[in-house]
Amino acid sequence: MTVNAEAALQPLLRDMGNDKATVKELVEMFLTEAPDLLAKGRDAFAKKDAPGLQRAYHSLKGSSSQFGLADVAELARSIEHPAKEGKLPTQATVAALDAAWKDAETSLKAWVKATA
Amino acid sequence: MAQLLMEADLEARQKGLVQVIHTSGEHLLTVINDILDLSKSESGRLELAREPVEPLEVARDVLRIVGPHAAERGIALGLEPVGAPPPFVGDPGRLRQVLLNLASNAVKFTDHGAVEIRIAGKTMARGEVETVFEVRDTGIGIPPDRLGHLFQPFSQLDGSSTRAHGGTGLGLAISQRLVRLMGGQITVESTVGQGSTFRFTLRSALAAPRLPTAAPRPAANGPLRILLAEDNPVNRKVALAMMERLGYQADVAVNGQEAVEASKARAYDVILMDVQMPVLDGLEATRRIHAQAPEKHPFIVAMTAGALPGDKEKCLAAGMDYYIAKPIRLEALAEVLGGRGAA
Repeated sequence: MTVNAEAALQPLLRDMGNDKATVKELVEMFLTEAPDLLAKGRDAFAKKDAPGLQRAYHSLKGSSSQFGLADVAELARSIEHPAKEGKLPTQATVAALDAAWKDAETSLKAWVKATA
Repeated sequence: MAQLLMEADLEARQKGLVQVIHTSGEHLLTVINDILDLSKSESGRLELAREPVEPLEVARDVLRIVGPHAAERGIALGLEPVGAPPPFVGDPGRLRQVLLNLASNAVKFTDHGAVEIRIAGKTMARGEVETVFEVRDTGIGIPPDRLGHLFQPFSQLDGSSTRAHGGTGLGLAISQRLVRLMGGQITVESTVGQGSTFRFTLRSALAAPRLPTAAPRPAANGPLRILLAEDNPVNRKVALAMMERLGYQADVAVNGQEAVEASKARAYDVILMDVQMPVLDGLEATRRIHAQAPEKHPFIVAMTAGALPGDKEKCLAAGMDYYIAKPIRLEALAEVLGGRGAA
């Protein structure tokens, strides 16, 4: 499940007319936001707070899909939709999402670093 | 010829008759083309092009074509990309023909609700791309005993429905043959009264992505007054950056309540409205905006990500006019804003 940031960002880069500086700025913003949403999600999971879970993972689903992170978006969706009906995810799903994010984060950070 | 005659100075009754001739002629042409396609595909003389295919572009074309018919019937249309389907090598014209057939059938057999094209594509080993196409509707559905006959030529559900819904009954047979030529197979899942999903999977080589050479032209006639209502700061920034590229500027609301207040203070042409927002969601905000300006309300576009079945119907029921799928794409924004003209 290794993420290729360059490939994942391709649609956004294309939409931005290959303006790497702007995309880099957006990615940096996302790199700050996503860990915060994941922390909120974990916190809501610990408190068995389904609406809180739903909000955090809904937001994460939205922004991660914008950056082409299909795995992160899909896992977030798989938590968000049941949470809408009050169903809590398993610990394994939450952990899988955290792992998918770590992968994506490493790759995105490397991309940012390589993009002057 | 009939078309020329229609433009001539005729009495209403004569015009009506010429219209019938014209429509019959067109219909006959469709039948002939369909039969030619079918026989070509059966004799193996149909050759597929090998060009780069941007699956989302093909789907957008299809939605544009069926748009007027869907609007007439009050059916919502949607495009739901899963991730970012990559371009692949294939025959864009034939793919469009298949999707158009499935989508126009879906519109034809849906009385209320939505028709949606869902495309999931991923890159596999050895530079291959696997793309799953789905056309889903909330239509009348297909009884299980008819599913087997669906792809046979001249099959529609029954005589009465042939009359009610038009068509030659060849479209699905041709689509199935085309998809088989492309190396796939159309399958159907359907529940009577709830709707149908037609699905096929294509595998092909990855094509090099095309980079747009220039930004689309900004609206020529005066600035469009746009409000972007979105709670997620990153998504907000992405949408604003795309609009800037398209030559638009937008005001910003970070929740539904702010959107309601902003539209009280200023008459917007378009509101891009996230559906799920804190304080007040997009649905309730839409209802309130309608209530405060019942005579001339803005064109409200729902932005939804991986919506649940029924979500789109809720958007329309709340008074939203259109929806675009998240992640937001430049083409989708250009299309929805470009079609709005100027104030």
